[in-house]
Amino acid sequence: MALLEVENLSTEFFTDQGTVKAVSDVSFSLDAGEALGIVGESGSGKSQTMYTIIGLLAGNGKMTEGKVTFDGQDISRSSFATKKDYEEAMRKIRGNTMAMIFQDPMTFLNPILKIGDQLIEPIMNHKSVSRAEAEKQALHLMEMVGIPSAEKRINQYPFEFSGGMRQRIVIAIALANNPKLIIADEPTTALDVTIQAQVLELIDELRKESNSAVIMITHDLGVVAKLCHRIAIMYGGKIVEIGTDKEIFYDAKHPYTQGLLKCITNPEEDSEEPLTPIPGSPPDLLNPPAGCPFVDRCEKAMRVCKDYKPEYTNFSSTHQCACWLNDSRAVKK
Amino acid sequence: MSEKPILSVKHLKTYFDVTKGIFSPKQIVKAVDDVSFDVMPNETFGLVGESGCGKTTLGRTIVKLYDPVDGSIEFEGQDIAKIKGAKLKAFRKDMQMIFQDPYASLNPRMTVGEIIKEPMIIHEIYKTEEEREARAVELLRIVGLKPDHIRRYPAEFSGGQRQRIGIARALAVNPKFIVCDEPISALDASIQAQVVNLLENIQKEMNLSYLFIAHDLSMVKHISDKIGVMYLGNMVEVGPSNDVYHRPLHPYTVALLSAIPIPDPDVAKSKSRIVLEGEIPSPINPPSGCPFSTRCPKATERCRRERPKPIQVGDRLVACLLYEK
Ligand SMILES: Nc1ncnc2c1ncn2[C@@H]1O[C@H](COP(=O)(O)OP(=O)(O)O)[C@@H](O)[C@H]1O
Ligand SMILES: Nc1ncnc2c1ncn2[C@@H]1O[C@H](COP(=O)(O)OP(=O)(O)O)[C@@H](O)[C@H]1O
Ligand code: SF4
Ligand SMILES: [Mg+2]
Ligand SMILES: [Mg+2]
Repeated sequence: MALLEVENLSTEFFTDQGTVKAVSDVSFSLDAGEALGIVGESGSGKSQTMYTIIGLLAGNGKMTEGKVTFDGQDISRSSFATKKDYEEAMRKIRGNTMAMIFQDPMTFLNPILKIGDQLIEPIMNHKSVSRAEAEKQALHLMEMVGIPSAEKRINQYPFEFSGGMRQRIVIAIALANNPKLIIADEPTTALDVTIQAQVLELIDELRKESNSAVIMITHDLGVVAKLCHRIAIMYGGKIVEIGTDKEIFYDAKHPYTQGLLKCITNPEEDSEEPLTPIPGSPPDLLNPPAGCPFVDRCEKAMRVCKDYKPEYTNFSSTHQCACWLNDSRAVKK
Repeated sequence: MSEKPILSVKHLKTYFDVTKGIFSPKQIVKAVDDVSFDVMPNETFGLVGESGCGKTTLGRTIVKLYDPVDGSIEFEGQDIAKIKGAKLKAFRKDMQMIFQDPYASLNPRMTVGEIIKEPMIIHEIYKTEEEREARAVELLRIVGLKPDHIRRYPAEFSGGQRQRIGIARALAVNPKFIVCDEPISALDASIQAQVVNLLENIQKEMNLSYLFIAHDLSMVKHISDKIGVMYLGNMVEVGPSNDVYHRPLHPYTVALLSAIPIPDPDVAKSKSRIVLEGEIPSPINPPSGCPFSTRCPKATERCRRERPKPIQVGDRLVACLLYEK
């Protein structure tokens, strides 16, 4: 059985301007030890998909449909009698079996608490060990994530650390509990490439050592190529294509995935050709298109695309794509 | 090559005094410390390096937003490092800048038209408002916006569109040279490609030269003819972009390039990286000798004592003692 199973998840936000359909009918599953990349431009629903799963939606947001099963347990809001029960259960899960790493480490770190206390407390809470034992484990974790002179630095405050070092502390805190699932939301976007490489390698080692599953959210195709076994491409709140790393990079089926791959350059190749940008801009999720979310920017769009949502076509047991081009019922133009 | 560079920077130094109080010891940030390079006409010179290495300071010194403490900046053969008054004004017309943050760099209370026309007024390029208006409309078309956008405010535009407005403003005075400081870093891939293509097209049409600053090495390599690599205020390597990428000479360039994530799973997953020990030293107390000597896997005793000068190796400049005979 999969470690995480997300079925037909939809999330909406209620605002003065209307309803924002942030996540629409998203499904995927993830096994232990697997790394899944979620790629898409800003506003495509990557973060809100994760916040829905881990129960951290903003007050005006609601999971309107779907089911989330984690480690054999139904953790959808609807499977709990009260909001309080749900929040209580999710808080436990987030501190134990699920860990999160955000783009800005300061969303996670307390600026006025010493690094040591921020590490030692979760260890004491979750492992019921003495403070001395927890401190020993904290030092070990700091060394594991590559923080030099851990014994000195354990008594310092977050502001005394560089961005890359702070992100390592967040990773160390996340790991204090041997999580089964690590969700990393753009963990390296604010970091330089050499630091980014170190942080990615760290996450990868931990995955291998403890057989945890990883969800890596990013807009950088290089990052997912390096780290992930499978990749989901999100656009306008939907997963438009999902497949193994090779299926996505070498055999993309969705016009958006194909377009995205043509927008970037592979420095290994010395092409003098101009890039091929995707014209236009992403859809407004207040008034999303009735049919395919990509219809306004797709050069292969047909009449059916505007009004009817495309269904998933299976290209292999791992490769699915939602596009009318692959549907024999569509009248090709 | 017999052609003369449009920009020739020699031994440029820009320092910031960050001393806390009058009785504290002097604290000087050597943000740009003895940097030299040339940019040829119609060429794009890409500047890369990790945050804090001095890219923005170098760019801002060249457009004369900061004053250098030493060195020369020759633009079309004239040293502009110390010019003032009318000469400075004339220079500002030839040299424009595009900024990273398309939100902060446009005045939210001005319409797009006012933003684009402002530099035309400052430099008295057109006599009448009609001429300015016509030129603004033309510029909007050139950067891929619509004529009726002229009456709107920046807040009504997306990040990519705002960057186009910034480009139109830079083009308004018909410059010869544009310093682009991370113009695409805040944009999504599909929008980045639109802006890069736009910059390449207007370069051809208007015979522009660029200093293109970015931390995304793949995009810099794509857009640049030459690349300069900075580390701790120093230019450690300069050369043709494909050469530098495929055959880096300086140990720092080698390490930096090995960390780029390649968007190809077979390559990315098999690529190995050169791990650099330690962190970048402070530009207030840079190491004696080679600035990279505290982290360089090839450093010798001599590297810690002697500061390497840039040496010509083929069509490359490298500041590393390994290449000094
Ligand atoms: N609290 C909120 N209220 C209204 N809309 C929101 C809220 N949070 C997120 N959204 C919207 O949800 C959509 C998806 O956002 P998000 O998942 O954060 O995108 P990303 O792919 O960049 O992570 C966006 O259109 C965003 O503006
Ligand atoms: N106005 C300033 N006053 C003091 N220090 C500065 C100023 N601007 C930049 N610096 C310092 O100079 C160094 C180079 O900064 P910068 O040119 O912004 O680097 P980059 O653009 O490569 O990230 C950094 O150490 C930075 O903190
Ligand atoms: S001069 Fe020495 S320390 Fe500096 S880069 Fe070359 S080998 Fe390394
Ligand atoms: Mg996000
Ligand atoms: Mg900068």
